Amino acid sequence: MATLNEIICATNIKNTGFGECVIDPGKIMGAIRVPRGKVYTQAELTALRATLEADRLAALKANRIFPIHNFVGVTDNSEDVVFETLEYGSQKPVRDGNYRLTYRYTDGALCLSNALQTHNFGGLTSWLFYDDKDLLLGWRKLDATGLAYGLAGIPCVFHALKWRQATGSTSPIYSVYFDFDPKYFNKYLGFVQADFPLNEITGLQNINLSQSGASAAGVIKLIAKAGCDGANLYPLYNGQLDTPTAWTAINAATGNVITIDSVAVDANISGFTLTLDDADADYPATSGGLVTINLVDPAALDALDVSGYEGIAITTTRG
Amino acid sequence: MHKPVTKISFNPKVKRLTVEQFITRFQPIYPEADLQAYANELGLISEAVAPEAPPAIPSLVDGAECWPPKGEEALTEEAPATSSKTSKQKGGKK
Repeated sequence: MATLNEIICATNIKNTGFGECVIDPGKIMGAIRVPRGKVYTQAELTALRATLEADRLAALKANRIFPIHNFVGVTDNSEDVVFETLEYGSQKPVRDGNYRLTYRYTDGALCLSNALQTHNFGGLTSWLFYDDKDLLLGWRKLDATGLAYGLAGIPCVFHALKWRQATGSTSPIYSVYFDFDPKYFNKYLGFVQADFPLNEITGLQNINLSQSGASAAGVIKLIAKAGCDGANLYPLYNGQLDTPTAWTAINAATGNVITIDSVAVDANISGFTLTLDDADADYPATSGGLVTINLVDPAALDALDVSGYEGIAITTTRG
Repeated sequence: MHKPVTKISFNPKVKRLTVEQFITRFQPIYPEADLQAYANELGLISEAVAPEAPPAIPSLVDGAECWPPKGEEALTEEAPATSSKTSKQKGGKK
């Protein structure tokens, strides 16, 4: 409790005894970008796996988490404590230096590197870290009720560094840099012991849609490929994406939803044929009218057993 | 080698169509599919057995002929005396 004109000195120092079980973080193995301002409540932390699974599938990127896993090394360039050297020769601590940590990863390679670089230059971003014992680390922050503490992401200057080329003795180097105030990892440290491997909470992959041929009066043929490697998803998911409930169609001019009448699997193009309802009031009136086609949101795709993907919309004429 | 497109998933909303409309609409798109079988699966009804549209009722088609009913105008003019009662009845407890 804060009291006017009263400083807190000896009353807030802590005793130095400890029990048999102590918190002793191991090697940091991964980091998860979480929504800014998000505080995971005790209820959410109790169901940690379900909470993180739901957040990785969030429809809005502002509500989504973005994990990076399997760090293979750390370069600690943290600032030393800053001391002032006084006139008589003694030193006085002025402030703790910031953590400045660079983690190297190899999984995901250039695909992940390019994706992570889109998170650069966005101001402070919030991150949880986890160690080799799946201890999830963040900072203790009051939740929205103002009555209970939850776990929040640590505000960091984040930068996905440009990759460095392989040499005769090293593979390419992909790495990410975090700079943050030490108070979050010390005085305000918050942690939760996960009871599952946190690297099972994976980031989403994009599904890029491309059109095969030209549209013909509400008939649009699409090919779905995974974002980075361009692998066609037809062989894997033609039995899941062959339903109108897997797709969305929107009148690009009005933003209104157009009914999709049918979806057919088309082995000739290794893709899908969509037919739009030409009797729908939102179907563009003219042949040059634009429609935006996409897959349903990640959670809905997950429900169709197409797990870990997000469609990237394509806009084309309705034909 | 061309592979016939025969595996189709239809939106249940196409049940608004008759069998004939369904086949006319989708035959050009899926010429190799057994659309009759899909129509059966969807439970579409053929025009031959579809119920005919009910005959037009003149009074509903052209309401101007019979609306307002005779005497309505007179009733409306008397409205100040009856309208508050009407609204109370609508909004009051049953």
